[in-house]
Amino acid sequence: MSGFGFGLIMFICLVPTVWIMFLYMYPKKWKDHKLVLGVNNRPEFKADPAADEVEQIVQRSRKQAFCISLVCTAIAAVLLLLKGLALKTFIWTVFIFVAVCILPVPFIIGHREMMGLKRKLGIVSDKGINLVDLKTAGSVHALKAVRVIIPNAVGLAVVVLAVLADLKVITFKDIHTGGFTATIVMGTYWLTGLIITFGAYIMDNMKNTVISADSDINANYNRAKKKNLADMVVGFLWLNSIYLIIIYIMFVVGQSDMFVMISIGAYVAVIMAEMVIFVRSNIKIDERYQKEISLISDDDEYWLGGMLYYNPTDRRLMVEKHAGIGSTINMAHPGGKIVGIFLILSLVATLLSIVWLGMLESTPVRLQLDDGKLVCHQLRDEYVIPFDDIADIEYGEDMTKLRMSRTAGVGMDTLLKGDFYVEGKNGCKVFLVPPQKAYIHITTKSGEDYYISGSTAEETREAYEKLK
Amino acid sequence: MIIRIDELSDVPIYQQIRNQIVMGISDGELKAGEQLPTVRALALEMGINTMTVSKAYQQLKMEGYIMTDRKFGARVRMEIEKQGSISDTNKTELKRIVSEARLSGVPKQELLRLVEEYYGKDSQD
Repeated sequence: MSGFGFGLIMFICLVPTVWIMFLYMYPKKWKDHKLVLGVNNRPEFKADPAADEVEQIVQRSRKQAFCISLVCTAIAAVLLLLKGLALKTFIWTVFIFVAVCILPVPFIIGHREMMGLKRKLGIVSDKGINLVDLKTAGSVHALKAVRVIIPNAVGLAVVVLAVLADLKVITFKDIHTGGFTATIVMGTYWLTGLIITFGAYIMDNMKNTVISADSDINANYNRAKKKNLADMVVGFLWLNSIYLIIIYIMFVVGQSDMFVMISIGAYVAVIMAEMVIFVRSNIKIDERYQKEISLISDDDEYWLGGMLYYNPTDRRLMVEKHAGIGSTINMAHPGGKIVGIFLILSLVATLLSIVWLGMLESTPVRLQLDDGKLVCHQLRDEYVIPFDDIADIEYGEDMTKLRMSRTAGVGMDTLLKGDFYVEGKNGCKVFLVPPQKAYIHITTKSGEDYYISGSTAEETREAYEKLK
Repeated sequence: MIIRIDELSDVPIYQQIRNQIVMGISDGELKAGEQLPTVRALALEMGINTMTVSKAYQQLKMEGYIMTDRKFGARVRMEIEKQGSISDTNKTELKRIVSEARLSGVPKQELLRLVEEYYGKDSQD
């Protein structure tokens, strides 16, 4: 994937997410919402003189968040102009990390001010109080099994097709697969759909919110929220399955980088559009039921900064978020602690992998011909081809004409390294530097194919002359 | 019917569930024959162990307020046996409440008014 394509996809993912979060976390008409900056919206807040103070806190937080969102959008647009995949990946990752840390700051400050106001008004949170509607308990669901099984089954059928093609059980004319690349790519998309399905199932079974003493109101409110979520998930699953079909067709008929980039961009754009519809519907449901709220299950004290839930008396692992969309984890739950550690480790792993990517891009490749062997070396990777093992050798002027796809290894703008599927043969060893187009194709007596190049066309040519 | 569970109360949670279901039946919020949620669903909703809910249901069943069935789950009994007397435990509890009210200076009329309110003015003596 090109550096620009990567940047564009990151832009399409990040910018709408930032604005969706802004709209959801900082609603203008705070009186119409169940929560204000992560604090339960109590009747006392809507009465004078507290209403003016709440209005000021909300508008201040909203203004700060708007400025931050605007700056994030501008930075994201500037990052589109960056060159070099490793540098771009590094800067984008750091930027996303910083944005994730900074975006909630106005919310956390506003939440603290709201909690202060709450104390000033003499409102005491019902610590440890749990409201449950006996009539809706376990009976409000919107995610029908058949609605998620069908799109997942369609996706699975395409994955099975890819596996069969990669195993050569079935063949298509001029198919561009091999080395299980298609299986891995499509399996990943399909598994993503499966994980989303699992998450949606958990959310569909989550505790129903109690907003009224009237069970019918509680049932309708929770049903509306869960149906909105179910519709969003089913929509995503169908999109995922349709996209699986499209990428499989791309594998069959051959893919151009441009088409891959456009299709991923369109896929992400549709997901974002779907998220916007989901958020707008959720806001409308909250506004519609705001006047019906007569009971408040006040657990504000258990929300750190309105974002992190820590309640040792609650045995549930997943709870509805006070900030943003969906559910979050109870950090006091043993499972929550494990997830927390996993998230920290993932973050460290991401940062380390970016450092590794930077090293890959900045470390030059070396071709050495001595002691009767050719050695291709970069970082920890080394290919050794003894001269007497070479059966055939040819020089190519333009590696971009090679039809190749990566099976395992590195596939960057500036470096191709590892096992590749090249010109209909699987398991070829590739050690190429794409900015220079020349390459050497070596076939060994044991039948292995190597595609190698030096850092420059001259170095490649020189190595070829010596090997010949 | 809304159940309010106080996680920090000295009263065990199963007892709180039991008490509130009894109050719900008495108030008419839970009708005769009405289906109760399954043990698992209620435990999930409350964020507590299924054993706790199961214990509450067992006690309610033993006391004759609900009936349980493998096929239909737990339901409020159609006919609750009317013993016509207050149990010794409840008498002791009532005595404690009256004593505390007297020590707090609550007038007797106020207590009787509350009893009438909770019992139901139109109920037959």
